[in-house]
Amino acid sequence: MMKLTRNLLLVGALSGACLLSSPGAIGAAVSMANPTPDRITLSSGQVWEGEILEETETTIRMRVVRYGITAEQTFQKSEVLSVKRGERTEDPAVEPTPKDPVRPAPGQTQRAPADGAKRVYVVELDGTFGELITQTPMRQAVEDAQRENADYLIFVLDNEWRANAFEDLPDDTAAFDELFRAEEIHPIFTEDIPRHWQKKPEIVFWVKQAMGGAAFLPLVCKNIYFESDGRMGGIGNLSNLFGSMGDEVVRQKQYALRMGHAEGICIQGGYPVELVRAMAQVERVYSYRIEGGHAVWVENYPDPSRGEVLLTDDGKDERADTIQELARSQGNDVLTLNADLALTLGISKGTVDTLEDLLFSLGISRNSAIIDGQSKSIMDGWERSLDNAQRELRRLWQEAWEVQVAGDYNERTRARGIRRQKLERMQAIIRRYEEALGRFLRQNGIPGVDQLQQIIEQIKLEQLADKR
Amino acid sequence: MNPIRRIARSVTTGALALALSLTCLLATPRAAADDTIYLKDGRVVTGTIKQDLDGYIWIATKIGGVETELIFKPSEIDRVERDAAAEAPTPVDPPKARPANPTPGASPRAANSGAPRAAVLSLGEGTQRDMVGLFITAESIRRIIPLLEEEGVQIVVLRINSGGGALLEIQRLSDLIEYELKPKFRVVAWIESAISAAAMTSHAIEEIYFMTRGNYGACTGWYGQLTAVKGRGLEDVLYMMEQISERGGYDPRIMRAMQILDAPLSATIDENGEVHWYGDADGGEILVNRPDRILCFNASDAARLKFSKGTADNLTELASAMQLPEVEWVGKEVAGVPYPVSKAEKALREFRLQTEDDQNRTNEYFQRYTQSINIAQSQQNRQDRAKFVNQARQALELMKRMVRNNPNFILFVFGMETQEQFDDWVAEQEKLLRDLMR
Repeated sequence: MMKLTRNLLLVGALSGACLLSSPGAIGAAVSMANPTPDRITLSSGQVWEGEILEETETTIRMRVVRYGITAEQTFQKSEVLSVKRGERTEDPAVEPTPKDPVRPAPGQTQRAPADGAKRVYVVELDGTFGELITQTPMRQAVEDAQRENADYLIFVLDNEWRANAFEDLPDDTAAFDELFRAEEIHPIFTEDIPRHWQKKPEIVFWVKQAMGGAAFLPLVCKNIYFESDGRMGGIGNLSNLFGSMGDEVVRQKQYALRMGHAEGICIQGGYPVELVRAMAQVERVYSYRIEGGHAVWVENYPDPSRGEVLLTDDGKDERADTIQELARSQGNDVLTLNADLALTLGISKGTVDTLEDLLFSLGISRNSAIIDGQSKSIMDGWERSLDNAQRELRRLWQEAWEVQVAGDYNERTRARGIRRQKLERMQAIIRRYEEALGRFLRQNGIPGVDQLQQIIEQIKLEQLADKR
Repeated sequence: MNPIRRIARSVTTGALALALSLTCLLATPRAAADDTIYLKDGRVVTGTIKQDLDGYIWIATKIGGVETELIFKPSEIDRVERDAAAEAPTPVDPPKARPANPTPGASPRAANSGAPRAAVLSLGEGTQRDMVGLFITAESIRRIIPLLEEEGVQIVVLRINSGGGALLEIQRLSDLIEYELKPKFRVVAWIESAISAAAMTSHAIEEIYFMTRGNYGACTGWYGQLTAVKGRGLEDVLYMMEQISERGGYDPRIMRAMQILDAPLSATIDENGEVHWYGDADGGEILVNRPDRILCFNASDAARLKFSKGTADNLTELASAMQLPEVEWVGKEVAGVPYPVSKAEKALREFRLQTEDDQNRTNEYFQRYTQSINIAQSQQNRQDRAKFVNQARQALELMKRMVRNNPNFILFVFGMETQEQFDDWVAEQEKLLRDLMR
């Protein structure tokens, strides 16, 4: 399912800039729509309908419209079984007759987006939260979306939640304090967009995986959708964050201030504060019932006579989640939202497994166009740069200490100069990628900018003390 | 505090009042009356005229049953009919510790535009540069008061975004707010995050607004490995906050529930909308804090329990919540700052940046200083020694500069209690360096 979505995004990205770079261009695309489209049948059996734009000896380039999304696709002639050209209308203003407003079946052609189609900008957020999912590339993507006059900004959230390269982390692993990392990202949504966008876009989070600090990201936004397998949680360690360290009153203070932050995020997004309380604190007992189609939270065990359903127990004694429950994501000491529960509780507005389903749920499937923006290259570029930065830091740190300060005065001076240069280069890299390097620096024993400066100062003094 | 008094104070101390005598000011406000203002746009506003300065009229009226105060410019007003029965002038009861004298040097610009002039001062920047006592200090705010006056500011909005800090600074900040800011300005706290010492600082302010995501509380004093302040030290802090609660006009049990366990809190909102607080879990209809928890307000609870005067996420919303039909936000647009940056705010920001730089480089300063001295002491040749004495002098100058910018480094870095102790230490070091050059 995920692959299908990604392919679709790729198709979106393939569409010509001239086609989608401005609302006017979209209008042009609409007016060029054929009453009977061109049709390409592939040897695989797939049928594509649209408008053939270009044909070479080896390829056919076609503007296709699928589920309301306009994109360009290039086919190798070797895979094309047949080509049937449709009739073109003479009057570009003539619009195709609207069809039954029912979601088309896969493969069925839908009319091109109408003039004034909603411009949809998609940002895929995957990788480690706080490192690849972080404010600098996200802010750049949002700025790009603004340049593209996006009406909808869809963030596809699928953060990595792994113990290692081979093993996913279970629901009961938690990282509540990544909340503060999320708060560094939130101003993009709570300050930048409200201030800098004249026409505010509709912000949508599509949750595939939002665990740990990533769980706090969608909560500032009013439109959350889940994938069928989506989950949101991984912040259930608040009550155990400090173990038995210190005095209870100070631990309670620490919990209170953290919940103050978390509740504020919920309130800002329009979600009940009980949501983060149930997600974060084991001792909190919550149930819910449905009244008038809405979930009512109850801070207690359920009253079956009122149709209440248990969400989380207090995790004490026999009520503590068992390993069997945890292995099956069925624990209830803290709340981890899945798609069904998120929908029932009104946190999610719908469960969708493809981008076209999401657009349909948003009510824009027949009148929208995916913007051929730079978000993918921005996010990928950040990943590559960060990876390079980490490699470079390791190399420079090693090389700085491999420099031998020996020989005559000039050689010693030169060696110190080289060492300094390497350390200064490290400082520059760290400053640039600081927001995403904390864990890397700790794990690799590489000092931060200020400690590097101390080493540099030491080198300067050594040089000053050296004599010819 | 009565909002009308707040307005009166801001006008009294602000530029509008500059040209007016105290007598004139006190003569204007009157007893309750049915005054009517006919506006040029056809609206008619009835209520009690509170002040009339240079044609600007402040009128207390009710909108939708809620008492509010509106200000109208001369250009908006067609005519005014006053209730003759209430013509007898009634002196304004000046608020406690609020001098009626206008601030010398207040800007005449406010009088030109008519709208009150307001400045946002940030106290803390969230996860960075936010520690009370280091980045939020009474001294740094005291220094910028002349800048506020120079820009004709009448309303100071303290935008709080801090996770707390040093207990020792709370009394200083509270006194500064009470005795140096409130007499000159209408002081408002706008809470993004006020945790611990930041909440305790804000507690001296009567007029608190929250951002939607705002939080306020969790004021337990602690040190080291989550060890609570206990015994006499705790009692001192509890007493200090009782007094500060009084300054802000808050029930002391609210702050107590934020500080210690076994301080349950409940409340009842009566039919008049007034909130009554109870120091137990079930005395009031609303359980505010359980005995086994520490209280931290969110924006919803703060508004519901009328701890906050309103919720606002931007200046437009804030002005509306503050019942300011017009306001001039002082300052320039600065990239990345969601409000105009006044000269005073700029100075505060520079103070914090310098403090942060010094904090980050403290070890560097000390290392450079001590190593330079060590090397100098090992040099036989005076000329060689001079190089390192110079290095040491430069490092010492950096330390002196960091203390000049932020005197609280004396305690936090040098472990000394007074400026004199630090000056003595500097004098000793300078003598040491001189001796090295003999």
